[in-house]
Amino acid sequence: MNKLFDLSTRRQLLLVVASTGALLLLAFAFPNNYVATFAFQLLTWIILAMSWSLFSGNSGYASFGHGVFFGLGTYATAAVFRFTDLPFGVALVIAGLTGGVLALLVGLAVFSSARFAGDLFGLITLALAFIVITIVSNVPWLDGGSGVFVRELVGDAWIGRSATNLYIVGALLAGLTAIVAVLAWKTRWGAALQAIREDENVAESLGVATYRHKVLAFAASGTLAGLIGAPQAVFLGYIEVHSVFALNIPLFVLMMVILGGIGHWWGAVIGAIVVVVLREALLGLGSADIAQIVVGIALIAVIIAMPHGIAGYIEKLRARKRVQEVSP
Amino acid sequence: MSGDTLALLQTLLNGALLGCLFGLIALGLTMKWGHLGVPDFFHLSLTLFSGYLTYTLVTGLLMNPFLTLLITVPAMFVIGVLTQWLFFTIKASAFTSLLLTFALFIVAESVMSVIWSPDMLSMRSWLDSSFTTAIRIPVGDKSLSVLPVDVMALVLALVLVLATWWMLKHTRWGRALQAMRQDAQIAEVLGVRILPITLIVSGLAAATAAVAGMVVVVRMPLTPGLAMNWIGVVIVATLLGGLGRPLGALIAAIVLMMVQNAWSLWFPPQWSPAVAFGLLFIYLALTPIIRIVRERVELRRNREQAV
Repeated sequence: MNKLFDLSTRRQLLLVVASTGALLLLAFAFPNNYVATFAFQLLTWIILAMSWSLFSGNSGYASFGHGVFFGLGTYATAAVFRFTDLPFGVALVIAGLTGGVLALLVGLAVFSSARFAGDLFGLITLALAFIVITIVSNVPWLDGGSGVFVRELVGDAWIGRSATNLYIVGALLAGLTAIVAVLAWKTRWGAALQAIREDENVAESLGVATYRHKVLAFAASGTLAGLIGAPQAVFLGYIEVHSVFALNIPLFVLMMVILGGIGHWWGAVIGAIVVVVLREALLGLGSADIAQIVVGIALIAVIIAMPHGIAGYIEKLRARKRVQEVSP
Repeated sequence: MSGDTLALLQTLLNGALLGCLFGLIALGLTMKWGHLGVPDFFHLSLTLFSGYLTYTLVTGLLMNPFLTLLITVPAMFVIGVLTQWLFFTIKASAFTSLLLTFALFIVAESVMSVIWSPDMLSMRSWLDSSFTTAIRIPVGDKSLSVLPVDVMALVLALVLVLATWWMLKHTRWGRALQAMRQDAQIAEVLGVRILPITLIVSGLAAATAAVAGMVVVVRMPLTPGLAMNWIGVVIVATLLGGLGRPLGALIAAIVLMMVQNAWSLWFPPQWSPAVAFGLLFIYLALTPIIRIVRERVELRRNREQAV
């Protein structure tokens, strides 16, 4: 178990493929709809956390607009179902493209000037959320303020038949996201992003094409978030602006990644699992508010006690163990 | 004077007065962001929290809204000092403090929802009629109406913002703070004691939230999600006004709300939330151009002097 995370990139990719296969096999073992639904939601959060971490965790540019790409994917899917008879696969691709193209355009504009780094980048992404909310709630063919009933539009298509089918789509997307995440951490692309996080000016002076790498990573992150927005539309059944673009979605994603640790691609996975399971366990305890308080306090405790998240903590433990082995 | 002009005047006036309230909220934020380097979202929660506290004191103990400040201001001061002390003890980087304030923000929202219920709470029926009766200002043969609470917001915002501005400019503390902002290490070498100053600035910034919260609860009904709605306007005002400049933030908030209100008069009002951000983007796009022009002008002047 200890060696698991020390493997080379190729073996990590194999591990991802094998885990995705295992996740797919698990779909046959669900005892009831509740478990399948929970598993799908867990996968959605894992994908959101991984795709956020892919850009923001790697490059250190904290984005508060991740919910925008996710929400746009959801609305794009709803629009496809509403105006065409195309199958879910096409809607999925369009959802991904919508998120990706918006992220690409925003990235091209925002990263063109060094002024929009740090706090200002975070705020611009936050502003993006407010603008997209206003646009979506005012454009009649997207929403127009009354919401969209996706459940009626899906009808008896494969995707809408059971929660297990949603889970299968989620598992495939999780596999895809993990592959992109491994690449974004372990290849030259990842090295460039991490160099940007450490010191962007130095990275640029050493010949790292910072602009291209940032734009590419941001677009990839937006595409993945848009993709998982597609099954989410079917899952929700009825979509409405203020729940789809709720500002606590990017907050939760941020929390998961910080909790898990931004130093490793699998930190986001751990963080997402911990937060979702914790919240679900706490919901039995009482109201959603109490659950939110406990999760928030947990986040504060983690920031104070483990500044590098759970992944960083595991690394530290392993390093300590290694030292003990060397000097008995 | 025609009815249209009057309606426009009234709308602009309402916007300007509402802008005063947002300027009051932005005061604490711009001080903490500009001078301590913490974009403190928790400040908005503190504002709402003081609003709720005022509500309880007024409805439970039948206190006068102004007297509640004797309790809320010291309470918020202590909370402000404590949060800054937390940032100091864990040596939080800018990114970590941003996350911490966000975590505190969501915890605060749920705590308020648990204590005061997620329902809307309005203090209107508890208020003296002198708070709620509109004052009429005659203009020609018609009149503009102003709510007393808006006048209160205007006065409090002006007093606090001008006091902060004066202190920053003319007291030793204010100048020490400015020195610290430029280069903390050098300021420390030159004898500025960083920790007490940061603690007190944070405490004072939080104390202004108590005042803003009192105005909020008198003016509008409270819900735990209200702080989330303010983020947009308050942050845009802080940025447009220039970080660390209370007067700039107040003016920006006033202009912002006037533009937003005038917009809803002529265009579909449901688009108005995007106006603030549209202005922010225009400003961000224009600043490099302004800088280039200014540098050109200065260069030319220097050359002429050299000649």
